[in-house]
Amino acid sequence: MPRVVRSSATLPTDKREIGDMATWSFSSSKAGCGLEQLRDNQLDTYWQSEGPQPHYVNIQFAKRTTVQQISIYTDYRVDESYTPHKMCIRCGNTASDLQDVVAFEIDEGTGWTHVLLYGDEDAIVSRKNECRAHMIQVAVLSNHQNGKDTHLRQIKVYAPISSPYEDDDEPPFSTVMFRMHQTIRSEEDVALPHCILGIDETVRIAHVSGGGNHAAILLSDGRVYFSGDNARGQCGSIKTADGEVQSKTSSFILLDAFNEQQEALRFKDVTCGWTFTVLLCLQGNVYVTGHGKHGELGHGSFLTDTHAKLLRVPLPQPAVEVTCGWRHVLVLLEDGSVFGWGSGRNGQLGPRVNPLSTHDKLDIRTPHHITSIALEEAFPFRHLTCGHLFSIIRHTDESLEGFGSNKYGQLGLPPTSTPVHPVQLPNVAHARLVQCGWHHTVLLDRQGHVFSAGRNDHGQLGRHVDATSTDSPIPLDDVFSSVYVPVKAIACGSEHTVALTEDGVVTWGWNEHGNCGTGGQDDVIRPYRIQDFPLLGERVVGVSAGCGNTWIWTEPSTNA
Amino acid sequence: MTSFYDEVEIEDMEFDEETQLYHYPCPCGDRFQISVGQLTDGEDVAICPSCSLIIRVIYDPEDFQDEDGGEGTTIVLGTEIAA
Repeated sequence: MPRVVRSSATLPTDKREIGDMATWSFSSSKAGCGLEQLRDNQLDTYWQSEGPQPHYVNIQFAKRTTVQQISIYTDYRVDESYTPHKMCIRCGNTASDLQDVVAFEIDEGTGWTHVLLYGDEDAIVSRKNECRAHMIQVAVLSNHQNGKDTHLRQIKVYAPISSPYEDDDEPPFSTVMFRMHQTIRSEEDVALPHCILGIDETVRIAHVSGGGNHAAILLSDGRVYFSGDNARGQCGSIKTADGEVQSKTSSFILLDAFNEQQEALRFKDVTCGWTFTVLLCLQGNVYVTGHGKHGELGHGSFLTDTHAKLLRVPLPQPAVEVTCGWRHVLVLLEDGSVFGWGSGRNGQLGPRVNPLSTHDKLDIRTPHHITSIALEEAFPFRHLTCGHLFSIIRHTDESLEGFGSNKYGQLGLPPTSTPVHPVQLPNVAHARLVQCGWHHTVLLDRQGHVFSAGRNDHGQLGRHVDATSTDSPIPLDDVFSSVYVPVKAIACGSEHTVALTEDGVVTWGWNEHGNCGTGGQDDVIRPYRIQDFPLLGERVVGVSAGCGNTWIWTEPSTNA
Repeated sequence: MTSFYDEVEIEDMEFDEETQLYHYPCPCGDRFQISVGQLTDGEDVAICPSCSLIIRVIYDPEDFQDEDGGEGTTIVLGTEIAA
C-alpha cells in the first residue's frame, strides 16, 4: 500500500534517484521558475505554476520504469498561500490512462514529503505490487489559504537499488563458474556480457534459442534447460524441487521430458517462437509446447494451449531440423521434404495446396507439405530458417529460396511484393549459413564473408545503405572484411546481428537493451567487437540472439 | 515524435478481452498495446511498455464508434479531476 511520510529533513540513501532519466513537463510555469529550479538541488529556488488549478508536473520515462518513491520539498513558512495542500500522484503509460495511486495533504511545515508508492513488503509479496510506469504525474489539486499558483521547491524520483545479478534460484549445475543472472525479462537490462551458467565439463552447450520472452539451452547430451516466461506453457513442465510447475523463472530449469511410453526424451534441436517452443527428439519425433491461436501447435483448429505438456506433432517421417518464426514452424524431414504449420497469412508457409481453399495465405493448423520446383528434386539435406513473417530454405547446392513477407527487402527482392511461391535469393552463390531476424536476413558464404539484406533503420545490416532498407544481399564492406573475415558463425536477434569471428564476437544493429554488448544503449551502425569479456580462460564456440538479447557460449580452451 | 517501428493493421493484432487491449509483438519481447478507449478516441499510436519503440495502428475509426452512446465503452480519463 502507498504510504506518505511528512516533514522529514533527509532524503533516502538506500534508493536511486532516477529523475534525470525522464523528460519533465508542466501544466504551466512561470519564466525563470521552471524545471531547472525544480531539479537544481537548491531548497531556495522553486518551480512556480502560472495558470488555473489543478497544476501538474509530468515525469515521462522512455520505457516503463519502476518508481518506488517520490519526494517533494515544500516550505509553508516562506511560500504561504503558494504552498500546495491537496496533492495526488498518478501513474500510467500515457497522459490518457493515468490512474490515481495516492492522494495526500501537505501540512503547514517545512521539509520533504516522502510518498512511497509501494512498500518493501509489497514487493516481497509480489513484484506485481510494484509501481511500474511510463509516466508519473504529480498533481497539485489545491493550495493552502485557497492560493492559486503553487511553489514546489524540489521533486525527487526514486527507484529501488536492485542488482540485475540476483541469485534467487540456484540452477542445478555442478561446477565452478556458475552464476545465474536474471536476464530474461529482468527489470534491468544488462549491457555487457555476463556469465549465465557454467556446466559440467563432460557436456557442451549445443544450441541456445530465444523466443518472445523465454529461452532454451540445448546441451550436447540432449537435455534442455528453459528460462523465462512460462505463463503459456512455452517452457513446458519445468518444475522446482518441490514439484510445482513454474509460470516464470529467472534461472534455467531442466525440462523433465517423457514420451507417451514414459521414457525420458533427449533432444537434438530446439526452437523458440513467440509463446511456444518446438523440440526435436533424437529419434526424430517433433514435440510442441506452449500457446498459439494461429495453428502454431500443429494440432488442428481447436488446440491453442498445450498446458505446459509436450505434444507430439503428427508427421509422415522422422525430422532432422526444426525452426520457427513469430507464429509459424518449418520442419525438415529425413527424405528432404519440408513441412510447415502456423500462420501463413504473409505467405511464410508457401502456397497452400488445398483444393477447398481459394486463399493462399491463411493459417495452416496441421503440418502441410511445402512444395516448389527446387524442393521437388528432393535433396537429401537442407537448412531452414525463419524470420518474423518469412522463411528461407537453403538447398544442398547452397542456393537459397525464400517466401513470405518481403516488406523490407529481406528476401532479396524489391520490397513491393510478398512472394507466396518460393523465389531464389539473388546474388549469393555459396551460402554456408543463413539467419533471419524479424526483418533482415544475414548470410555467411564459404569464404566467411557476411552478406546482408532487409531492414536497416537501426543498423541491422552492418553496412551503409542510403535507404532504411536494401533488397540485395551484398557483402559487408572491405573494412569489415579486412578486420573480421573469416566469420565462423552468425545469428540474428529480432533487430540486431551477432557474428562469431576467429578472435571474438562482433555485433551490430538495435541496441536499446544493451543487447549488442557495448555497455551502452545506442544503436550500433558499424560492427562492434565486444570488449571487456569475462572469458575465464575459455573460448567462444557459439552465438545466438533473441528479442533484445544475445547469447554467447564457451568451452574450455584446448590448452587449458 | 520519433519514427514508427512499424505500421500494423488492426487485424494483425491480438485482442485481449480481459484488458480491452490490442497487442502486437515488440522486438524487445514485450508487446505494443493500445486500448479500445484510445481507438475510440481516434488515437493510432500503440506503445511498448518496456522500450521506446512505437507503432502506428491502421484501422477504420468507424469500427470503433460508440454504439448509440449508450452501453458503449466507458473511457475513464485519469487527467480529469474529481470535484
